[in-house]
Amino acid sequence: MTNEIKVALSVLLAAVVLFAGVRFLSGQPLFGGGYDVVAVFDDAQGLTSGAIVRLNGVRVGEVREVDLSPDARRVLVTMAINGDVEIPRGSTVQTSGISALGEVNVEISPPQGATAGRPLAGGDTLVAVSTPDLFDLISGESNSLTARADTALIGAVNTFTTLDRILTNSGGDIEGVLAQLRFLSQAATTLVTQERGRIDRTLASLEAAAANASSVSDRVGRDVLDLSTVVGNDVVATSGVVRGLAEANADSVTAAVNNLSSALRRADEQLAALTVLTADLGTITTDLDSTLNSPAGTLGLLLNDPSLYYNANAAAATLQQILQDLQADPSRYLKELDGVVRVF
Amino acid sequence: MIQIRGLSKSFDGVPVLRGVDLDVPEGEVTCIIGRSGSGKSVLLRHVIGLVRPDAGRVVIDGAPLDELTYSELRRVRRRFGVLFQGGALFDSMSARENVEFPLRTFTDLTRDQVRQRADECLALVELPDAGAKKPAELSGGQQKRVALARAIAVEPKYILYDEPTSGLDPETSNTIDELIERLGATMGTTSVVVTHDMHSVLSIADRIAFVHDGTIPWTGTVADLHQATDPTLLAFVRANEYKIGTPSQTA
Amino acid sequence: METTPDIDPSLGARVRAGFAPLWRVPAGLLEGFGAYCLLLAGAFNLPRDLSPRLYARNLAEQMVQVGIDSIPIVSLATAFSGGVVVVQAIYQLENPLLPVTIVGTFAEQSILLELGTLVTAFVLCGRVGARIAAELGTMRVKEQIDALEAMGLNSRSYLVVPRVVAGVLMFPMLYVVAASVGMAVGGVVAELSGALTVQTFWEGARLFFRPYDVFFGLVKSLVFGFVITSIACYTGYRAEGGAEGVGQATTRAAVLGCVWVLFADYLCAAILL
Repeated sequence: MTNEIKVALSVLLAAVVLFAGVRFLSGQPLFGGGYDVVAVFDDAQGLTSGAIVRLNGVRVGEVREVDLSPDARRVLVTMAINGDVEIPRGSTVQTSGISALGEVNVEISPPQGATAGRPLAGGDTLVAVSTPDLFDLISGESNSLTARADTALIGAVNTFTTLDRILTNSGGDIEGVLAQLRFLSQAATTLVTQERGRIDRTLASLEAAAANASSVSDRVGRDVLDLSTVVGNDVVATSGVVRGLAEANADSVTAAVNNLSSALRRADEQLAALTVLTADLGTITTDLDSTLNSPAGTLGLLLNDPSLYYNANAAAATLQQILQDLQADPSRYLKELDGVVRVF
Repeated sequence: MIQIRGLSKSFDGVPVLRGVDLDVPEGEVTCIIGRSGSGKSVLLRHVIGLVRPDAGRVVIDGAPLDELTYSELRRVRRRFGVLFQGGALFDSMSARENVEFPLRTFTDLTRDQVRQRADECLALVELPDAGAKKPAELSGGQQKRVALARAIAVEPKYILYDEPTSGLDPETSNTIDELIERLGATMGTTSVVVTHDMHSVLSIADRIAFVHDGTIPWTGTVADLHQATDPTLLAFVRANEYKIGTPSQTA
Repeated sequence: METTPDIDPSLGARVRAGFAPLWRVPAGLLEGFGAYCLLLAGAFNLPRDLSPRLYARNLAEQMVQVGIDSIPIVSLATAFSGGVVVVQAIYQLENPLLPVTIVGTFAEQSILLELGTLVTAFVLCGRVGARIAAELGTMRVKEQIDALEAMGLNSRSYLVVPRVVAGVLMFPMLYVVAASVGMAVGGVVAELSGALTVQTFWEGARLFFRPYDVFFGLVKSLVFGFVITSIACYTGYRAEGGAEGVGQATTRAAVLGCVWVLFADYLCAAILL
């Protein structure tokens, strides 16, 4: 054997061993090339080429390339998938890990249920589920909070508008109703006072969320402020009428309304109680309305009609009971909140 | 034509050559004689630019060695064949490969021509069957003869011999002397022989240069040697004759 | 008024002479480094008037001597170091909080990054470096280098280039041998130890494997191949004074080779990691 042949053999052998060894240690099959799949991400989150691609937590390949799409709106991540791995159609892909902690990898999850059609082949594209990061979570939370606040506030506005109209129409002869209303207001005040801590916490988290997601918080702030202003104006208008009608009770009603107003500003869980409250107020006003609009509907008849008193009284009692229940177990009402909210 | 002008060289502050002038005429055998350590070998190494002089210059065929680039110097060296004192055969190669080496390296001969020429050269030094042996398997004298075969293989214009006959038996010495003479006669090769073997000097030399104490105090032909009066030269010649124990041959 | 300071004219010379011993060592080192650079520069300034065939033949011969003939000793050395790494990893990392796969990880990182190259380099400092230095040193003191020069050959190119190129080309091959033998023996030792199975060992080895590690090892072995062979050529080329000089050149080749391999190892790590 000549020297040249010896050298050639040894170098070739070493190259083969090198190739096989690297592929073996990389967890790739020795033969069979594999194929490329492109995943489209909104945000690469620090993904780099060489990152591991896992399917259900099993290493199946690695990221070959991370590129921006031509319009720079998307990130195209080319993944080299080992030849013997079949990725089910409809799989979702997302990044895992946090770049600040070092490792960002790609996680593929197969779809729920039976397989849908052929598995992915080379050149196929997966659209990535954007992994909500901390900011996204906060924004999402704020949005639902805002929606709930909106609904509750709109309900309250409606209620107070109706109440206002009724009170305006019914003149100065509904002291009994006002007395009940005063009681209701006091109960509401008590409730608000007792739940202050919770309100504060809610506020604090809302503020934190708002601070973190400025755009969202701006919106939340603006919406809450706008609505609160509307509601507050309404409430003030209502309370002005109330005060004009019932001087003796004016202070406490105003205080109660102010408390309600501040409660409205604070939103969240207390919105549930508020919604319940307004729902009952709605019932009352509906009663009042129907009474006033009844065929025998003159004011004198109304005032002489004892059933109004009884109705109002019963409504007030119910409301009182509800408020007491609410104080005892607010969470039960929170569950019903959604249903109530839809009424408005 | 080799011209040496005012050549001086010191090693570690000890002067070895101090202003040597020498002309080597073409086609002749010039013997450089002198006592051991007189600077003969150093002088020879200057001729092919292996040693850079402190002062003076060596001019080969009109080209001063000190003005040549390294590749030009190498081209000049290819006109030379050099027989080193110890033979300087390449240990890793067989005797034949040693002889073939300059042929393969510097000529365009085919493989057969190279082999043929190597055989000729080995036959010339009377070692036709030593080709397959490694230098370590050859005796000192055989090594020297293979080295001579290597030196003459490319038929150089000049051949430098550094003590070609030292350590050889008288018969082999005579063979080499005859070879040196024959090369000069048949191919017009210019030979420079560094030796202190007066016996071979008298048989081969056209010209003699006597090196003493870093200079050349005397040059002349063999005939001139008998009229020489230089005391150091005479001392050297007589000592040599006495050692050899034979009277000097006169042509 | 104006006085000439009375300075001994020999003062400067005496001061210089006084500092000479201090200067001699760095000057010697600098001189040696310069000679090394000149040798390489002269060697790789390939003469265009020589046939490439001459170099190809020499290169093949040197590649066999540097590379293929070294495979057994490199395998032996790295087999033992692979085994030792695994045994030590099992001993040191025996901790209920650590997964046993860490033995494989540890072995993979040690062998591919460091042992595969460094143990190989040290073994070859002795085997290849010393052989080159002895060979060239002998050629130097036996006038064979002069004979090459006298023929009109660039002896530096002729002798140095094939050896250095063979080192640069064959050391990566030897690294592959070293790494695979080391890892294979490591796996066997892991299995025999009873602390973990060979499957667990390979699982651990694959866990944090990066192809860059192998690339790094290859680059390092290439650098070491250059360092060892070029230093050996240098010390051999500068040998003088017969058998003793050859012995000194050989020793220097091995010692200098090891030192510079360590230095190059640091440089590679600093630059490439």
